[in-house]
Amino acid sequence: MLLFALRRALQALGGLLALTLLVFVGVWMIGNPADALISPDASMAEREAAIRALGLDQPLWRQYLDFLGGLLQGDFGSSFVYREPVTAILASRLGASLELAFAAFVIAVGVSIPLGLYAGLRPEARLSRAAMGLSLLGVSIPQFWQGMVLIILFGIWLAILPVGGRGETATFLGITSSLFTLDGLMHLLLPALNMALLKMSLLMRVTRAAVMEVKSLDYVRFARAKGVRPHRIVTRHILGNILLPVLTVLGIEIGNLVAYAVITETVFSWPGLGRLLISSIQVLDRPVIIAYLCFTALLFILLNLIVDILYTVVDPRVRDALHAGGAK
Amino acid sequence: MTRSSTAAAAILSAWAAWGGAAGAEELRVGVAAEPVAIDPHFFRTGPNMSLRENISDALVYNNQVTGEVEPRLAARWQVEDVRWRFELNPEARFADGEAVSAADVIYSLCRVRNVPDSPGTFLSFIETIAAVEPEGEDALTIVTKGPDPVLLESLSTIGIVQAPMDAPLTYDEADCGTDDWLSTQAFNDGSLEAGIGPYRVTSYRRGIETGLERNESYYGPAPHYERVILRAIPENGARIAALLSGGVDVIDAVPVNAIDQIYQNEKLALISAPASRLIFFAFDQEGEPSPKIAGTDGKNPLKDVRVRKALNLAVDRAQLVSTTMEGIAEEARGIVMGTVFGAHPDLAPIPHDPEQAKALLAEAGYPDGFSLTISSPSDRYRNDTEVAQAVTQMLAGIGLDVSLETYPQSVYFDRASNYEYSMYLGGAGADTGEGLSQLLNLIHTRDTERGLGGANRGRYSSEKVDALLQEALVTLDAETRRGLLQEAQAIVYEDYGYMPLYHEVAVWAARADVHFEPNAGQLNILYTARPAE
Repeated sequence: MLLFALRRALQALGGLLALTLLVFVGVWMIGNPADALISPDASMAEREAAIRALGLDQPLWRQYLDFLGGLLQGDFGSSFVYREPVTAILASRLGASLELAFAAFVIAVGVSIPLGLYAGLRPEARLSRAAMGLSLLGVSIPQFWQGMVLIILFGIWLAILPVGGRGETATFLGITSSLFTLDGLMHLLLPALNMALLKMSLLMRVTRAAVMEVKSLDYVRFARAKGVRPHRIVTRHILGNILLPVLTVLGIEIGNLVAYAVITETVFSWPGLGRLLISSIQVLDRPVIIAYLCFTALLFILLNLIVDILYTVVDPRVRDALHAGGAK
Repeated sequence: MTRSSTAAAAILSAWAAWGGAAGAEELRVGVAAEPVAIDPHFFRTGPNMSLRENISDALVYNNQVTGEVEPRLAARWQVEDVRWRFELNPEARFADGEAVSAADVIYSLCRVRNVPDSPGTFLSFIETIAAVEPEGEDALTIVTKGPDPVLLESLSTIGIVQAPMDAPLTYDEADCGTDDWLSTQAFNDGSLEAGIGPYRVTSYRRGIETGLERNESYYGPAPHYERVILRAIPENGARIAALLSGGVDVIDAVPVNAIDQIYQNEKLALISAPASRLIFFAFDQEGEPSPKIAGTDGKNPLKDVRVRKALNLAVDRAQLVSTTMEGIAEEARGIVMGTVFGAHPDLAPIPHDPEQAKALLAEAGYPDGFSLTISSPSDRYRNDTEVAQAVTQMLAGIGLDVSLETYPQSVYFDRASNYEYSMYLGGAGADTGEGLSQLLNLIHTRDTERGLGGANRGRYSSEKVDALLQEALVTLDAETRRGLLQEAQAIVYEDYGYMPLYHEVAVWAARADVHFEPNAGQLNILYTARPAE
């Protein structure tokens, strides 16, 4: 088990290194970040001053080695635009992204698992059909457009919700978040809903499919024949067994919620990581791009690890297999 | 030769008069691009310069609506050849009550060159300064290397910060004998004030909003709004939505496709001012063969004035402005926009005449045209791609085999500087608010050593134009200089050295009950905003 974890960690490290190298070479091939930053009317002297200040006068390999040197000391470097440590900049945006992801997650899971379960158990019911129809719509509508529609509907026509920005924040238990103020929650609702709609549809379909598969298995039929109460069949026999596929999807989707909320954050001017990434790519702010991508890579590695561990908790077969492997 | 400041004094008193009663409301502005720092010297870019105008006064203000240079920290000034004497306004005080002094001005000018880690300095605005001599606390003389007719306009972009030392530094073109350069970080986190301005920054939350508060001890008229919030909303649709829903009171950079919608909404008002930025196509007049031209046996047809004229005649500017730009632009004739100093009023509009264009092509030896790829940025100027597409169509109309390539700006200008295009779309404004800088940037022979022709990546070159501009550079008399600039433009016009398309119009939109003043420099002037009458 330990060896397994160690090997995974080493693989991840290698992957991260390759990633940084890729971004370095990629940005270098695209163009000179100094040209994207300075005013097109700037003089040559100004351009050279900018190139020197950003360290771009060094050869590429030198820049990369400097970057690696900094990395060993836990320093990702400074943003080309803001000239502040990128870790501080990322950290300042992370809170907004996390709370948006959290809210979207709660909405998505809260709606989709019960609905999916219902739709799986009673596929012919009217509510099930309606839910499945809507979920098809949910996965096929582009998020950008959907966000605009939400804004027009709730922000402009009905004028009951604010349409952009993060709203007021408050600090509770050392966490500063807009989850703790009414104004913050109002601001959060639309973007969270916009992100949740897609995940909701996806999760609902996965849940339904899993339920339909499990409920026709022999042990469920047997339990039913044995006279086990329907409630216990659902909670104990079905829910327990559909967790595996749902968990896998959830793991990936949480990562997506935190790291790739780019579209929603753009439409709703939400000051999270996604918007930072877009604006950094526009001006080739290499240190921010690298730090961001490393962060997302780490996030996904971590989430996968957690999902793997949860597997062993949820599914005795996986646990037994691991034990058997370890005993050899 | 003295440039009188009596007009300036008159404006000062008028300016002081309308201050009037100040209210307690808040103004919320949705901006397309946020300032990346509060530090007035950190980064030469539109949003930063726009914020600077409201929080950190320069010696003078360059009013791009009236074309006048108005006093700010300098109450009056006079010039004799290369010596400019400024008297500082004793009423102008920093937050700690200290009046602005010569030492602060010298420190700020020195800091422009030494601001730590800047990704883009204001260097070109101070390059003509040779020495700065303090004269007591409240006056100083700036000595330029040669006569500099645009010194005031240049100085109007440099905010004055409070020097950390009492004794004035000795100005030089290196570090002025100190290494005590206030850190940008200290301005951003609020531990240092950006200078003396109608507003001061109370909060700076990057990527979210910048909060401003009226400076109650400001020496000029008090702004109407007690608080101003600049909210960063880069996405066009989101910015419009914020205005429509009442989330903000004013937005800048209104996209073309939203003009109609706002115009028809009686609760909102469109506010516009012609902007100095010229949108043009530049011709590669150096490469042989030119990189994006084929079918000419290795010749570069763009070196032939007849071909350049043909391309110019192929473009229907009226239609471009009315259809592609929905009227939010002004057809260009010369390089410098009509109300900016140095504009040439007598140039005739370039006609749309495809028949003559075809004849000219035939005459130049290309009766069957040639194939040409034109280049355009996709995210730099308003509607840039659409405009380039329209021009592509128009050029196809005179028998050329034209295609279009577009790039994001992060890549585009790098390639333009490497001369990878044959005909490319660009834009250049009058940064200092008058025509000379724009002409030097666009039509002077490209000379990277001396920083001339910086935007002239097609490398148009004319000895006569260069001579006229060089003369204008050292001519202090305004009328003579205006004549020189006009003459230079007339030559480019005859040479068809460029394909000028239109001058941009800067557009804001605001709630109908808010009075917001536009300007040609596309800056957000917050201190003149007030409720509409």
